[in-house]
Parts: sequence; structure tokens; C-alpha cells
Amino acid sequence: MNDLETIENYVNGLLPPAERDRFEVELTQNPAVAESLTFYVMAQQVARQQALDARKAELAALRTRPALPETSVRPLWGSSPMVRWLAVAASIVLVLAVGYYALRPETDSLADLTTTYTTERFSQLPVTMGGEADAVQQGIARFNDGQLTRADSLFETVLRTQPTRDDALTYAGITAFQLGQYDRAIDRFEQLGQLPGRFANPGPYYEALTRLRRNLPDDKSRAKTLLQQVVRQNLVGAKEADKLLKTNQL
Amino acid sequence: MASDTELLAGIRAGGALRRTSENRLYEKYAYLIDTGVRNHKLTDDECASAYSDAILAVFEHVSTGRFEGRSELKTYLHQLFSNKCVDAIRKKTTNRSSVHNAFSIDDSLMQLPDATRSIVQQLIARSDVERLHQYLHELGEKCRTMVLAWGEGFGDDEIAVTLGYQSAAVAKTSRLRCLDKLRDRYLTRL
Repeated sequence: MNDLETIENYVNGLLPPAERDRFEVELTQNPAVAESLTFYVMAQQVARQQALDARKAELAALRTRPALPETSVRPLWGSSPMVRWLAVAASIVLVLAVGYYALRPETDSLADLTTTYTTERFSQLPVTMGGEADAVQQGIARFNDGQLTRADSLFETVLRTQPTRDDALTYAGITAFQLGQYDRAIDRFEQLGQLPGRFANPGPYYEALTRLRRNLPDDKSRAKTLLQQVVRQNLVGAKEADKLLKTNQL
Repeated sequence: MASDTELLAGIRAGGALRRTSENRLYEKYAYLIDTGVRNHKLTDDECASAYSDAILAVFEHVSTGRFEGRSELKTYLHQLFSNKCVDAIRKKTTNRSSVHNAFSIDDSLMQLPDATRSIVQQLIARSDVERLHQYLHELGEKCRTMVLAWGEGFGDDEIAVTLGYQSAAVAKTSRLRCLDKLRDRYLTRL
């Protein structure tokens, strides 16, 4: 009567009537049964709370760019002549600035390019059609569903037994990046980059992107070295790396 | 940007589409956080937390049918968010965090018969919930993942697929073993 399966069946209304009656009698007479039932109810709620906390963390990771605050707008016709002339001058400057922007040579900023490339590479993971449903494939499915914490746990579990598995290293790095855990993402991409015999290794390029996002004092110079290596060895991301280097902001 | 109707349908559909729709809904109305900062004089972090709590409640109300669509989704979310902000203010000004961390047992207890509920309620009142939280945190990654998935309402079949067990029955045995381990630790040290 005190095993958790019986308690679970009782809570879920799955015990046959006679067994349920016996359980309820025992509950009033045996404190251990009452304690176990109480534990079960509490554990379910505590687990739910912790699961919600984990989901909250996943949602918070989505909020990378807070929206700009709204600004109040006041009509100019109630303002002084000086203010109106300033507004006209500001409009002219704006028109000139827009014209310059439209006609400028095409040199995107480093930050814009980094955001574009990480979005391209790190938003969705490739699903292998008909592949074996192992933990990596499950992790990919979780990642693509937005369940980053679960995906992370699955990839890291695989790495504990297969620390040099390249796909697990790649996806663990990408997931850590999306969770904002840049140090761990860099570790994973660094390990990936050091794997021997890989024809198309994305490790150095992904590590460079992560360093540009983390942006600690040495990150830019280290990213530059990595990007140069990617271009020189024609690794994954060579074209993008070339474009990043041409921004002259490294 | 997806319409509210599309997002609601996605959440109700469940499965993979549910998470994607939830995430999009979160992003769509995330600007409310800035509104909350201005209107309630809370910090950005406090408002972000209140917003997450509100949106998680919306997810649950939509998927369980509690949100019937009688008001607009935005109005519904805004009302929940305002309530959460007020909770946060109260928590901050009264410094009574224990009130807000109070253990919510209503849903679990509602499924028990009256006599049993009364026994369990009395025992819960004497329980150390924080210690149970702590032990669950310390449970070991695989066990904890499994117990959390159960707490979130996933079935043993889904847990089996997610965590690589051969069948739902094997997952159930492992999950109950994990709970047993947690119970032993909790009840012997209480």
C-alpha cells in the first residue's frame, strides 16, 4: 500500500473500487502511507514549479533585444518659431543622411553581420530524415521546438559518454550560445575545431561568431585570427568570414 | 508576424507547434515589459519575471481551455501581467516573500476525496517544501529531468522518447525509482 505506484494509481483514480477503499482505510491508520501520499502530491507540485522555472529561463533567453520605449509626440504647431526652424533644419539633415545611407558603398557593420550570420546558422538545427531516434536527434527536435534547456541536457548527456562526437559538440555549442552561455559555447566549438580529420569543420567559424557576440577584451583579436584561419583553410563559413574581415572593425 | 488566432491554434494543437507558438506569443507581447517598468516603477528584471509568469499562465489557460476567447488575448494577458506586477510590488514593499512562494496545492488536492484531502492538507502544513525543492535540485541530472517532465505533465510515453528509454513502461519504472529515491531522502531527513 505504501509503494508509489499504488499511490500514483490512487491519485489518478486508477485503483479498482475495492482496492481504493482498502487504501483509504490504511491511510487513516498508517501514518507512513499518509506521509507518502503527501510526499507524492508535494513532489508533483515542486517538480511542476521547477519545470516552470526552467521554462521561464528559456523564455528569458528569447528576449535578447528589448523593445524601444515609446516616446511621447507633441505637435509642432503649438511651438515657438525657433523650434519650428530647428525642426525644418533637422528634416533637411535627415533627408541628407537618408540619401547618404542609400548611396553609400555596401559595408555592413560587424555587429549587423554577426547577428545575421548567427541567426542563419544557429536558429534551426538540421533534422535527419529517417535517422535513428537517438539522443542527438531528440535534442535537435527539442531545440527546434524552442525547448533549449532540454536540448542542452540531451546533447551534454551524449558528450559525457562520447566526448568527441562532432554533431553533439556542434549542437551543444549552438544550444549554449542560444542560452546565452557563451563561455561554454566557446569551449564546445574549440573542442570541435580541434577534432582531427574533419573535412568541413565549422568549429573555428562558430567560435569566432560566439567570441564576437561575447565581446570580452581579447575576443575580437581571437575572432580575427580564427576568421583568417577559416578563410585560409577554406573551412565552413569561409565566405562569411571574408565579409566579416572586410568590415575593418576587427 | 502571426496573428493571435494563429498562435492560439498553435498552442492548442500541442506537440512541436505548441512550443513554437508559445515562443512567438512571448516575443510578440514582450514590449509589455517596458510598459510595466514605466507604469509600476519596477526594474526591468522584475517586470520580465512578472511577464514570464503571466505568459506561462496564459499558455496553461489556453491549452486547458480556461481561456475561452471571450476577451482579446492581449487584454487577457495585460490583465494577468498587471496582477503579477502588483504581486511583485507587494513582495518588494512588504518583504514577505514567503507569502508569494506559498505552496500551491489546490490543483493536486482537488482530485482527492474530501477525507483524504483533509489528511494531506494537515501534513502539508507541517512539511518543509524548501527542503524538497533542494533535494530535487540535488537529485542527479537524469532523474531530475525525468521528474520535472512528469511535473510538467508529460506522459511516460513522451518521457521515454525524450530521454531514450525503450518504452513507456521502462520510463515509468525509472521515474518511480527516482521519486522513491527522493522520498527516502526527504522523509528520513525531515
